Amino acid sequence: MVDRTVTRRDFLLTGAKGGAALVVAVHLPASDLFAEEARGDGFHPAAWIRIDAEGIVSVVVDEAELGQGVLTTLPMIVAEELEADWSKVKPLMPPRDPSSWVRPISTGGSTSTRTAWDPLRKAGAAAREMLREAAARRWGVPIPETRAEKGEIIHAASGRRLAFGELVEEAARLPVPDDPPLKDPADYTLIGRPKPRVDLPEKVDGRAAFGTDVALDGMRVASVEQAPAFGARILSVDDSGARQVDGVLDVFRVPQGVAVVARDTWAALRGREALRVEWDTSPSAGLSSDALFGELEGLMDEAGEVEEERGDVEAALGPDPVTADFRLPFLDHAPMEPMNATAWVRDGGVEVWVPTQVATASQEAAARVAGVRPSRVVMNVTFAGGGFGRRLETDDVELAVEVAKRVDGPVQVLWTREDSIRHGAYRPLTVHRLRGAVAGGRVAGWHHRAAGAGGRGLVVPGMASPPYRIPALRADYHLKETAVPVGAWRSVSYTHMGFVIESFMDMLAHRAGADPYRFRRAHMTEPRLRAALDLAVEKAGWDRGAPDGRGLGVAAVSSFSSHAAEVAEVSVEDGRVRVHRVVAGIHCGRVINPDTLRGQVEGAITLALGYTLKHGITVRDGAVVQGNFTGYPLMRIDEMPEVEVYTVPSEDPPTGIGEPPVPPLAAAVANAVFAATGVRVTELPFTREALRA
Amino acid sequence: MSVTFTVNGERRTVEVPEDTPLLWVLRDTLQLKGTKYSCGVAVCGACTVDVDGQAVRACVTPVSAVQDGRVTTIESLGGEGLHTLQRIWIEEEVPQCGYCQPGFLMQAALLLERTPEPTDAEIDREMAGNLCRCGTYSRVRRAIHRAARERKEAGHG
Repeated sequence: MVDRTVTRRDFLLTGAKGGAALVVAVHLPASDLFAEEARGDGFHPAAWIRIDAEGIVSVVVDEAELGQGVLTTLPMIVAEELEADWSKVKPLMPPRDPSSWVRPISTGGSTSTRTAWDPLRKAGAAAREMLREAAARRWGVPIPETRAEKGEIIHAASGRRLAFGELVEEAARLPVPDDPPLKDPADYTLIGRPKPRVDLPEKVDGRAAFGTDVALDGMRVASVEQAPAFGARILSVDDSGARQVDGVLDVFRVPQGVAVVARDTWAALRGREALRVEWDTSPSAGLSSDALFGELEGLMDEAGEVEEERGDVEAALGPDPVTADFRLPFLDHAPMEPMNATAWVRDGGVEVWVPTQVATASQEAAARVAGVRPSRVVMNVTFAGGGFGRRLETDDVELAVEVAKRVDGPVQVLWTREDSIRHGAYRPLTVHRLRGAVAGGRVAGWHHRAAGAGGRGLVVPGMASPPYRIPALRADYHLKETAVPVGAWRSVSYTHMGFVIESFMDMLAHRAGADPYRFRRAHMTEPRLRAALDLAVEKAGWDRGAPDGRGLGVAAVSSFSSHAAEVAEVSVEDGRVRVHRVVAGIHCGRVINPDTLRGQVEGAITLALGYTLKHGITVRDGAVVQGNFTGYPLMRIDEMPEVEVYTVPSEDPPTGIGEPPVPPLAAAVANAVFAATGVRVTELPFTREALRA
Repeated sequence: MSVTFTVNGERRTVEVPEDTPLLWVLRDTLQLKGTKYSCGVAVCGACTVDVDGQAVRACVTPVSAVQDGRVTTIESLGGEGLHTLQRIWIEEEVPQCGYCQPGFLMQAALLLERTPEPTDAEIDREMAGNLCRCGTYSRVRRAIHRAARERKEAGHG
């Protein structure tokens, strides 16, 4: 099992069994998830390696394990440089007091591997050099005559060898080298070769503890009736029925609604069912997806904030540009583990158990709600049953602490599936109008106007920079803040920008009478994206074309420092799209753990197929219409295409993989539908009506 | 009411309201947390358990329905060790977040009991009620095929 109990103090002072330990701290850049907004405060020491007298190498992984394999990938980087025995390398969770940690603990933006690559290699190398020096001193031989291998320092000339654990006491007294030599990648034995994920044994036999699985002595369970419409206010509460339910212990108001606290989950759910709350939903009267689409589409004729402008766009567009309007709905993340958090308010502090992507922000949120200092909040971050950006929010912790303030003992606040879908942090609804012109087989002009129901960071990035050489380009936008809560959804604004820009590029290729792949390639400015594109089309057999009755479509998007191209093969029957095959070409620098990486790409494609073909969130009368997987259907196994993943061989530093394979998929499928049927789909998710048009 | 049934080979009696879903008896009363809550309405399969050799969605099965029955959960799918599927699940790196995987494994194990060498279509039919947001489906399919092969070679098929 993954050890989740390290404290900073334990870590610094001693090994697992007491006694000597070699501890190495190095520097990690602060999370650059929202680097555009928050640049600046430099470097903090944050990567910790500890080698104890038993030779166990512990590596603190200050990132959330969401299924992306970070508990394995990051220690692999350390172990490679350290020349550790992989069987003795263990990930450790970050401290339970995130405020004591040297950077915010936050997992998002596909940054974990990218930001860890240099510092973790350096940390591993520094520890290796210290161990070599300690061994050399003990043996009285020059350091260059020693080498590290599989957890030992070896002196080849004399055949002597010492295990790391036997050297830590002396090594710990040596200065940490500033600039230790890094390995020649040609000598890598771990990086680039598949290693089994360390979190899997407990994920196949029921032991892995997610947030919902927290079990504490005397723990109560609460279910909270939250506002049925955004911004709704309570008019009256009749809790008489709820209180009669066997096992219900208390019912009270919290700022988010009405909490039913019970002995166990079933009593809490039944109590909540018996609760009668009258709400004033007038604050969000008239708030609906339809109204928002109408309002935002009305802005398409008005110039917006300019994100990018170059060349004389109107002149370039000429009298007969290609035009297209696109619309995309709100999206819920819908991780399989519903939202939940457990909190215990006592002795002037709070203890929290939560499956979160943001330990530090959660600690601060709990402190704010409880009115204590962050250092008085103990954070227990559990495995997360999916994140996808939903667990970058802290509403789960805030609600749990609000309830816990009124409960004697620990209380788990479990959201139902309906609570989770109706109280999300949605990918904003957006609309887009594109106009473009081709001349002499080249894109001459491009105008993209977007409008979105959210803030700039969730709507706009990706808009200014289609990955193509375009002489005259304008990108402008309108933003409308609404009462619908919005947030970062795996690949954020690229979920819509990838679809819109790559669908439109396809339309321009057709206007030019060009092959969509070659048209893209001829305009492409980023060589790594071009390499990914070439790889995907080669593996997909693009030039062979699709089998009869099917179409091939391609799309390519750079996002989060990585580059992804996808080819989809589809057929359409009676308005239903069947995706038969998706071939992905990825350029993400050097690959650390190849099988895990492939899994991330497969998963990203599946997630993107969901929002392409199956689901969207609809707001009506200020409330989310969908409530469960019946109304918000996910992809199923029987709908899955064959998915093939290829990576461009590269010695570049690794970049992220969680998000970048999402953005091209919807456009690749839409472009394939066009190839198969001649119908251009400009709205997600696809509807049968659109496909019959 | 009082309900008696066998869970993972052990006879247990619980005192709960009779409409209590098996899911909450397993998770809250018996502290078997491997069986997961996700949808509550039998459309995702995360709560799948084996009741008398049938795959059952515990979230909508009243505990009274399993009186005298035999329930097996993920905690004892492999008996003392690992079920072939569990071992292959690790080797093929099927799980990502892992939350839905106990349900997938329980469903897949019952599929192999009835259909030792399932086709893709049979896997699709049997597994279509299990949802995975991480998108592990192609690996689920591959792992089931491989388990079928290995069980056949080992003479269990």
